Amino acid sequence: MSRSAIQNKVAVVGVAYSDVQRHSDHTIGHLAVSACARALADAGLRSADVDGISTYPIPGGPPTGPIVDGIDVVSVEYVAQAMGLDNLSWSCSVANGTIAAALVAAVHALAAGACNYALVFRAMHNPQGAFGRVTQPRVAGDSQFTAPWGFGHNVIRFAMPYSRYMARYGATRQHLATYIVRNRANACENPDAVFFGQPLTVDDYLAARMIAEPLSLLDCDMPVDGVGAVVLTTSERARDLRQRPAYVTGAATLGLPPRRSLGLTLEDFMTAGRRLARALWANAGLSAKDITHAHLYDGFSYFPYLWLESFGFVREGEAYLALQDDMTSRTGALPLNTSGGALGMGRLHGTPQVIEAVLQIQRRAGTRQIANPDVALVEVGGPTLHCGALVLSA
Amino acid sequence: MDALTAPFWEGAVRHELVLQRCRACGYYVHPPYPECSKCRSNDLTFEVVRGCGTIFERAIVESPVVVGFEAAVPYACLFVELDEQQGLLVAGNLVDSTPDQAQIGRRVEVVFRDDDGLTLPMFKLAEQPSP
Repeated sequence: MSRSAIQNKVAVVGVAYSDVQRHSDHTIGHLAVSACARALADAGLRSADVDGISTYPIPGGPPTGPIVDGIDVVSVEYVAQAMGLDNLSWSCSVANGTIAAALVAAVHALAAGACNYALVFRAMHNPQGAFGRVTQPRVAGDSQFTAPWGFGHNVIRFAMPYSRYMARYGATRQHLATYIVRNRANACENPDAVFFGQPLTVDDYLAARMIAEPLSLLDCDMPVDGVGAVVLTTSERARDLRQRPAYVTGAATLGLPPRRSLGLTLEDFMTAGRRLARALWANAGLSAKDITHAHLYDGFSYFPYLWLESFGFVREGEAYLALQDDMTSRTGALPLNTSGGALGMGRLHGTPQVIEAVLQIQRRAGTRQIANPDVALVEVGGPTLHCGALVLSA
Repeated sequence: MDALTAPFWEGAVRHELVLQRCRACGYYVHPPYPECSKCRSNDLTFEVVRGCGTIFERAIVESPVVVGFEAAVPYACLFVELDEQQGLLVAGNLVDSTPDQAQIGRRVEVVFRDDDGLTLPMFKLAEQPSP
């Protein structure tokens, strides 16, 4: 296959989390600086080395009041100011695509010579009170065709396509329990996970409080205060640093959703997912058969079904069956979300998918370490507006 | 409600389900938009549709997560695919049945509910299976 201009030109050389808790005593700005400083230390770099910075700065949930930088969100300006980054020659705040798009932008900037050491982070603040509640006395635009019927919550929005998947293919909550329990078992071996040391049984999952059937509380990642940070540089520079480089073999974003519609349908999801997959495989010059482990965003529990199908690991409608055997366990043919995923790590918007792939490639994943971590697929975001994907290689 | 969407809401007051339709190619567009999503014509009108269709996707809201809808729990949110056109979805709640009757693939028909100055199209299970 043809090679893209970025292939293996850039590498991830440092990764870190801030402390991650359901509610932190520290501001999210403080946690962002902490994560960025730890990621630089992980790479063996100083803040004076950083000449590029990017993030996806959008609030992690519906705002409950005025948005304050460092309290509700964290911008590149905040981190640059707080860390004294005086040598910047490139910065970027992406509007769509979560940390994946911020990473892709940094990869492009590094490959093009716009900067030499880029810091990429994603900060997620969990406001006090019930998460995701929106007070909308008046609605306008397309939401006037859903909000008056009580559709106004993300869990409802994302329950809809799952209901169709289940009806169309015969998937049940018992099927998904296999993934949920295995995911939590991975989190139990990950000291960075909010659910570290807290195992979950199939019965626990099936008894969880229903929010919007078919999605229960345990089908949603838990909102947290936390930040993940990643340091990238050119491959030539990477070879001189402390950690084994995780090379960026391919990178792509969805760009924009395929079309406007009333809400989310399973068909919309798969159209978007297949398009992202085509873009990534073309960019990487690889296909599903080349991947040795996958880290697929699971902010809602059933997303990995759609990603496994979109990226061509299994046929459409068959992922729920494929997840019943050992294929995606740590010793299977395609270890999946070995960190515990979003469900085990907390709501960090796909950052754990990136960091775990790097730790596996660097053979630093402790008791979670898999035998062949050479080629990772990383996908971040739901298969809608905000998604992107990378192939990382040893 | 705005100039683009007023015909839908005015139709609801008359207990009619009124959707935007392209005059050039006949395609229904919902939610309304200034141009046809199929042929890109900007010559659009509004027409009454029958309001019969099939449950396409659904969620049964069992926790009081939506402000203003706490007392309505449990309720079924539906996307109904109307018979007029493949993929033509409208939102509603299931009425006159328990929420667990909202099974994907079941036939439904539009009914209207007037409440506190707002008229909303809703759906009830169809009395006769479709031929």
